[in-house]
Order: sequence, then C-alpha cells, then structure tokens
Amino acid sequence: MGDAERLFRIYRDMLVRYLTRRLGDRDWAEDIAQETFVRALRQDTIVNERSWLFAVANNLARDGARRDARQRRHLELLAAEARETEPEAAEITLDRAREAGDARRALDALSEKDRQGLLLKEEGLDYGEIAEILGIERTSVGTTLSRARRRLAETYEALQDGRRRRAQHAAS
Amino acid sequence: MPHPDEGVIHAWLDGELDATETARVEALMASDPAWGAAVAEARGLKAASSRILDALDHVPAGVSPKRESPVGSRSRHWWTMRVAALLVVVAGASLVLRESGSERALQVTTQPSGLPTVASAPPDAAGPARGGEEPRTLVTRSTAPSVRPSESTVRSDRASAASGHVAANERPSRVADAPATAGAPATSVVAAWPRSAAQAPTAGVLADASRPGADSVSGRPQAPALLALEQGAAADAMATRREERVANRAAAGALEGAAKSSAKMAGSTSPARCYEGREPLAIAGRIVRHPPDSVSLAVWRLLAFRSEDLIERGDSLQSGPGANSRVVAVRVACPAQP
Repeated sequence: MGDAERLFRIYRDMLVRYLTRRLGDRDWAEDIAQETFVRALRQDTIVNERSWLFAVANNLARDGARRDARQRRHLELLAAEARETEPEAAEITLDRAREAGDARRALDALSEKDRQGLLLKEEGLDYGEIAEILGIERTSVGTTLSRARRRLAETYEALQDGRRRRAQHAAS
Repeated sequence: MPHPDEGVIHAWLDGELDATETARVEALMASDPAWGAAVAEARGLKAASSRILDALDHVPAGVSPKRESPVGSRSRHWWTMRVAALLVVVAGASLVLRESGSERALQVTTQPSGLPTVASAPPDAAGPARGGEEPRTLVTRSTAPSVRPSESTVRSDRASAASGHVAANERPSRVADAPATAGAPATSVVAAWPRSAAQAPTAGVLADASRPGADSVSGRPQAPALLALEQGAAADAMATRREERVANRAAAGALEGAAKSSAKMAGSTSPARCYEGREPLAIAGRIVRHPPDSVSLAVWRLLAFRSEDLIERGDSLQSGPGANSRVVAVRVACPAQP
C-alpha cells in the first residue's frame, strides 16, 4: 500500500492537471484521477507507472469526454460564475475566462490523438510513453506534436483576432 | 538540401533525437536558412502552445453543473417526477393491500428533507416502523438488486468511465471489485438521498442493504407490490447517467475528493465518522475521517489503513471476518476541521 501512496504523491497533481486541461472540468478530472489510483491499487505490479497511469486515465477520460454537451455547459458556467464576482474582479476573471474559453476551443479543434499527444507531452511524458499510450509509432510522435502545436496556436490566434475585431467594431 | 522536416525539428526541440540525428539536424540548421527558419518557427509554436495550455489551468473547481444549473434542474425535475410516480403506485398498492385484507398498512410519511418515504408498520402502530426504527427510504431497498458485485460494478463503470475500455488497457485487466466492495454501489444510492442528521447510517443498514428483497431495517420480507415497485425504481435509478455517475464517483472515492463530490452531488447532511487507529503501529493514534455518504468503504479503508481488509462492526473497524479478527480502529468524535 506504500506504493499506492507513493504513486499518489508523485503523479496525482500532474494527472489532475492533464485531465483538467483535457476535459475542462477540474471536479471531473479529480474523479477520474481518483478512479485511476483506485485501479492502481488493484494491480500487483505496474511496469511503467507513469505510462500506465496516464493510459488508464486517458481511457477513462476518453469515454466520458464523448458527452460534448457537458464541456460546453462548463464553459457557460465558467463565464456565468465570472460575472457573479465583484465588478473589478469580474473584469479580470472574465478576461481569464475568455482566454480559457478560447484555449478550450482551440484545443477542441485538434483531433483526439493530436490533443492527447500534446497534453501528454506537456506533462513530461517522453515520446516512447506517448507512443505507447496513443498506440502509434515512436517516430510519428514528433509529427503529431508539430501538427498539434501549429493547429493549436493558429486556431487560438484566430479566435483572439476575431474577439479583438468584434471589440473594435463594437467600440466604433 | 533536404526540406525541413517539422516532425524531426519538434523531436529535436523535445530532446528526443539520438546523437546521430541530433548532429544531423544541428548541421542543417547551421547551413540551411530554411532549416534555421523552420526551427525558429517551431520554437515559437512550442512556446505558444504551452502558454495556451496554461490558460486552461485557470478553470476553477466547482464549475461542474450544480443543482441550480440546467443539468441540475433537469435532474431535480427527473427525481420529482419519479417520486410523484412512486407515490401514485404506492397509493394504488395501499388500496389493493387493504382490500385484500393484508395485515400490513403502508404509511406514507414525509421526512424533514421533504422526500416522501414509505414506512412499513403493523396495523396497530400509530407511528413509524416498529421498534422505533426509522422509516426507511425506498431507495435503500431499491439498491438491493444491483448489489451483485460484478454486474453492478460493470454497469456503473460502463456508464461513467467505461471499465471495459480500461480493462483492455490494464494488465492484468480486472473489472469487478473485490468482495469487500460488494456493498458499495448499494450504499452509494442510499447515500444519494438526503437524510436528516438523526438518520446516520449504521452497520446494520449497510449489511441488510445487500440482501435482495429484505427490509433494510428490520429484515422482514416486503410486500410484493412494494418490492416490485422498488425493483422497478432501482432499474430506473441505475439506468440514468447521473445516478451511475454518483455511484461510480462514490465507488472510486479516495479520502477528501470522494467526500467532497458525494456531498456536493447528493446534498447530504450526514456527518462524517472518524476512527482512531489502534493497530498496526503505523496508524496507531491516527484519526481518519470516514467520508460522509461515500460508498467505497473498502477503498477508503485500503487507503487509510493500508493493507487491512476491514469490516465495520458497531463502533469499530475490525480486521477481516472470523474469530481471529482484531480491532484495528475505534470510532471517536471527529476533530474540528480547519
């Protein structure tokens, strides 16, 4: 059982962060992370801990994330919560919420594999681990990430440009 | 000069190329402006994507749909309709039973939580169930048919997080929980109903909830109409996404996260229970808070008390069944939380 605690201490935060970015829902991310560690408790041995944990979490998240409407509702709630705060804080919070919303939309514009690959790399997994989790060749990971990074950045920039143009149009 | 390969360039930026490839890329960068420009662009894209992903971390906790949200209100509406339907059927069953000369009278009472419950009492009892036992809620027994471990676990997992998919990736794959968790799904549905503070769960209730068709308080057989009603309600309950999510969340629950999520979802007021470890030495004196309304007692015990397979008996947690079981922890007052 000491192993379970060790795994929890080492990987819990990064797993929750990965899942939160992927799902846009911290509560849900924490639930899936907990489920992942519970399943780890049942394993006698785990050869590659980080890879195993992320693979299990990935699959749990993938099957839950098919309910797209949930993610959109969360963004709406996020914006609504931001509006409920104090005026000064609301403006700052709303800006951050908009950025988070644009980031979410940009991430959603990626294919599932590209999205997962990018998020896994951000959590420090190496190409071998990413290849194993995604079920692709190690030599393909670089291409996957280059495509994902480009698409993410371009989509996000386009969303931000659109927002600035609308703001300028509204002001004029 | 070869055309810049973006995949190779990103692998080089990520430090994933072997020595030979690294030398080749660096030589190309130095000699070919196109490669140099491609590397510069790739650096920018990598940095930008990291910044963009960091923005996702600004999402606070607690943005899951609450009761006031459209999802919550839909769920509340669904529950309201179901309770109304149950009342209609129960009223009809009551009439049938009276006319058939049954010795049992069904009384419908309303708990402080506002949810109607059905108490089973002998004809001469004016109040709730015999022996001062609290009126039980329908859902307490309605969970009974789902307590077969593998079936309930698979059903809840499939609905929320696809145990089948996970099983394919786990080595070795195991879907059903150990027998210690057999009662978990049942308890989670029980926990989902709001209860007054006086109706704290007891070991007896937990144990009896695992017997299909039994009154979870007295253990007496139920009226057939009521049992069928409850089994139908159980089938409905387990068929909904939200119910399965609650069950799965409770089943997965580790210490604080499970308590927080379950309490939030269910709106329960049941207080947490605290146990002070007695043995093994590593946990002696340690206070562990029993998550309120959590189903996964076995998981919590495993996490809190390491490898002990614990059984809740009265005010103590004992290790395993049988005559050689020993007290591992005793119930104490919960310390004030910061």
